Amino acid sequence: MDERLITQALQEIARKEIPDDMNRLPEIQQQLGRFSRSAARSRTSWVVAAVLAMLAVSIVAYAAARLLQTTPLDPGLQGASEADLLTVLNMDQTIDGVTVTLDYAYADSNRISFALSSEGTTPWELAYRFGEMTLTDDAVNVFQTMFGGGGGGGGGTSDSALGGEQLRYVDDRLV
Amino acid sequence: MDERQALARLRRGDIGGLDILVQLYQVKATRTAFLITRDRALAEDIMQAAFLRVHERIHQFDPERPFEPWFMRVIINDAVKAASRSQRQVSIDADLAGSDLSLADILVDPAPDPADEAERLEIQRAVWEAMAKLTPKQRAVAVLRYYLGYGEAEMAEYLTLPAGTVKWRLHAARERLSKLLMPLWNESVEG
Repeated sequence: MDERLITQALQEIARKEIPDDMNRLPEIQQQLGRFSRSAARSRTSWVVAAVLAMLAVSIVAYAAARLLQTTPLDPGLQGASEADLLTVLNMDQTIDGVTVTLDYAYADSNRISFALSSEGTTPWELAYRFGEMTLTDDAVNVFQTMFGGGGGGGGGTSDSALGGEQLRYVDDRLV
Repeated sequence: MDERQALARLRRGDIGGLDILVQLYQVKATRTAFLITRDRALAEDIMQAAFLRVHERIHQFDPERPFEPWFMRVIINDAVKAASRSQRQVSIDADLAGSDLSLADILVDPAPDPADEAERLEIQRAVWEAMAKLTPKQRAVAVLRYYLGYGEAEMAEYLTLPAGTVKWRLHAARERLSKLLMPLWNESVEG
């Protein structure tokens, strides 16, 4: 077999199909522009996502720290909090300038606990009625307040005086 | 500006460096990919994608080593993969389905010399048909050997294969081409 003829044939075929003056530089530059813009967008998206994630973690950590600092918890609830078993809810409703927030909840086989806080000038009646709430399940079974305390087993506490700008209240019920 | 300077510019993030590399290697890369894939459009895509990869991964490239083997390895491997995917060996006209040109366009010289033209075209046609009957991997070693003129050691480096594998693959390709082109050699001996 004359291998020189194969070489010659392949060179001629390649030269005819792909001419010497072929130039795909503009297409490559165009693709490179798209690629760079897409990479830049991607980098920006990652930075924004990372900042948002850090912000979210900071907010949750701050909220948890605030809750733990301002609301004394009994040892059982303190342990549940340290084990990250409290469910942070932060569900709120504002009526007549007073915002009441369901901060977190916790349940195990012995107890149901939840924390409420209010912002705004809390009327005395509302502060008092935090302890009068009735907690029921779907079958309308009433969960009794722990230790028989009328104002909530865990007691109500506030950052300032009752009826002031801020009020926090932890309620514990027997299951 | 030479290749080394172009690479240094590209490593600094200067796109102008890539322009030089494109000018230097686009034709050779596209022709090599075309001979393996037998599809011009696909060969151009492979070449363009390879340059984009060069731009993206230039910091993985050792500036002390020559650029061509590194780049051509990408081209050859991508061409073999693409050819293996399509594996279109139905007919030689079908092989040109992705091309703007017909077989006649490829084989006919625009300014032929009537005396030798018939024989030359006959050889091109026979080689083109015989190459179509090789597997993509065999075709790659045949292109490296006969088109690019590489020795077995270089082929092993370009294909990132052990020398023994390259030797065996080249032997298989050569045997097959020899059988397929036998009538052609007989004719030229008789002629």
